[in-house]
Amino acid sequence: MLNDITFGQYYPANSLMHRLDPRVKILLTVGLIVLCFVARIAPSLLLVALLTGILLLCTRVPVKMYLKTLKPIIPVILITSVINAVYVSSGTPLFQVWRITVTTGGVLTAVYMSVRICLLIMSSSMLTYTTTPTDLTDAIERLLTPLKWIRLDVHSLAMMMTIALRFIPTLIEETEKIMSAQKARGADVESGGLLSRIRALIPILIPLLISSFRRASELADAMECRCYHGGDDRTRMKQLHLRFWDVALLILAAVCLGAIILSNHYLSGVLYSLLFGGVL
Amino acid sequence: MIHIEDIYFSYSVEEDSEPIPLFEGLSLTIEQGSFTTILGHNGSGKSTLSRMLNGMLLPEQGRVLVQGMDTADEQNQLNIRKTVGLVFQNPDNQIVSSIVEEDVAFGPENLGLAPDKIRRRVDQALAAVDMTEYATHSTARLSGGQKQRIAIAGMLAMHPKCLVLDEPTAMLDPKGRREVLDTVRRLNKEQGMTVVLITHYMEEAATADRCIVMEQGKILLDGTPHQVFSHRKELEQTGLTMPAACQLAFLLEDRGITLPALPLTEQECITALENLLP
Repeated sequence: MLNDITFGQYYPANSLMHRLDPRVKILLTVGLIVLCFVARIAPSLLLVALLTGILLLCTRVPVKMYLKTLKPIIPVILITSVINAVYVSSGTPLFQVWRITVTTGGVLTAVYMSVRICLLIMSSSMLTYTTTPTDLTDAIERLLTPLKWIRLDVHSLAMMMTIALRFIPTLIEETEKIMSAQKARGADVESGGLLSRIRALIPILIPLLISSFRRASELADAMECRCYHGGDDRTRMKQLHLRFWDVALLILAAVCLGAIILSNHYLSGVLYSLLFGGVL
Repeated sequence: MIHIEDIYFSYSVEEDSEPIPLFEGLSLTIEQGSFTTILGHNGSGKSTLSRMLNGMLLPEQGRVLVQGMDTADEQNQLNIRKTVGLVFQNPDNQIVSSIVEEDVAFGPENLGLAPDKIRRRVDQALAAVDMTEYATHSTARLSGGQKQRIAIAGMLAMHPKCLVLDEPTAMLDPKGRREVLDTVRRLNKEQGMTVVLITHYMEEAATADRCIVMEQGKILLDGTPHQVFSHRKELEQTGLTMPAACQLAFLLEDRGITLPALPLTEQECITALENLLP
């Protein structure tokens, strides 16, 4: 049950994407996500999908792995699609059920939204599949460094993320142990209605919480013993360097972002009528 | 190396309750390059003592000097922690990073060393605990003994003069225990590392230079393992389990067969018994 957690999973492979600077990968992913939502018309959204597709293929991670990440969000897609289809009332009416009219505008918005969510999930899993968790936190720390200006403690934030990632497997293991221990004492965790199941979680969560506090205090001692004294005068063993491909991809991403914003504004009328005017 | 001078320390079980005295005028000196084991049961004060050695805890009276530096002085704090590396019981709760080499780098990174220097120290430390091939592995998938060796490597990368290990084998299986003990012994022999091993397994003390038995915050016995282990009565009172070789020798003694010298390890016992036979 707990082994299905795919969040933050790293898929080792030797690809261009794996070798990219993690900072660039984060910026690319953020760029892609922004693009998904900036693209208001079908052609630009298609362009974004195409771009994402090319990047996904560049990772050498099997496509199956990406499709797997979409499975858990199918309900989210369905719900947003229905809501969009029902509430958006622009365009011509298609059909009517009871007092609800579904219009072309509604269906179109629903399709756009679904595509956007899929692209969003796939591009963020592209980031986690190709970047080790430590590289990721490292990159976030460095990207957020300018925020020190507004007195944000970037180092502590990154340290918390590192520790959280480090303890995920430990705590999962511990949860399984506590579950077995409570089951051995006759606890019933897997049957009954929703309410009784939630109630059955209490004897698992409380020991887990208490032991986490004990772990936290021991870890703090151990860190202090290893001369940890916050982020001041701290150096890092691994340094990040921008290489040719990093810069090239950043420029490419900036160009795409600009192109799609422009196409939204100036080409929308032309392209829209050209490509989709006849169909819809 | 480390001088403990007449320290007093007490602790409270609950807030506002009467503090219970633990150390009342304890003094102890750890020699440079020595291998010392501190034996004792739970509550004997051995873990509290270990935290006194690098200034994690400060005595109420008296002082602890590490290479002449007083642990009570804030200014010495980083230097003392760099000199005396403390390894704890639970390996899971002292590993900071999910990647082996990055965890080992944590200490030197805190010291603010240059990246290439950290890299060198990490490689050396991993080689010293024989974990080089695991450098880029995930810390979560290691065995208990391997995790504890990584914790030791994390300390070694700070180039300490002394390693204090607080029951490092208590949560390990026999194989993991052997891995950790062999590593510590090798560090002592080959690199001259001062080692203080705190444990409640008497057989772990058998190969040390010096063996200290603590009870209720006092030093009960202090000497070479042979000297300490021959105090049969006192040891039986503390409830520590004797190594099997000693137990056998004592049982033989009860039946009127006295071995020339008290055997501490299996091998010594075998040799002694062979010599007895005609």
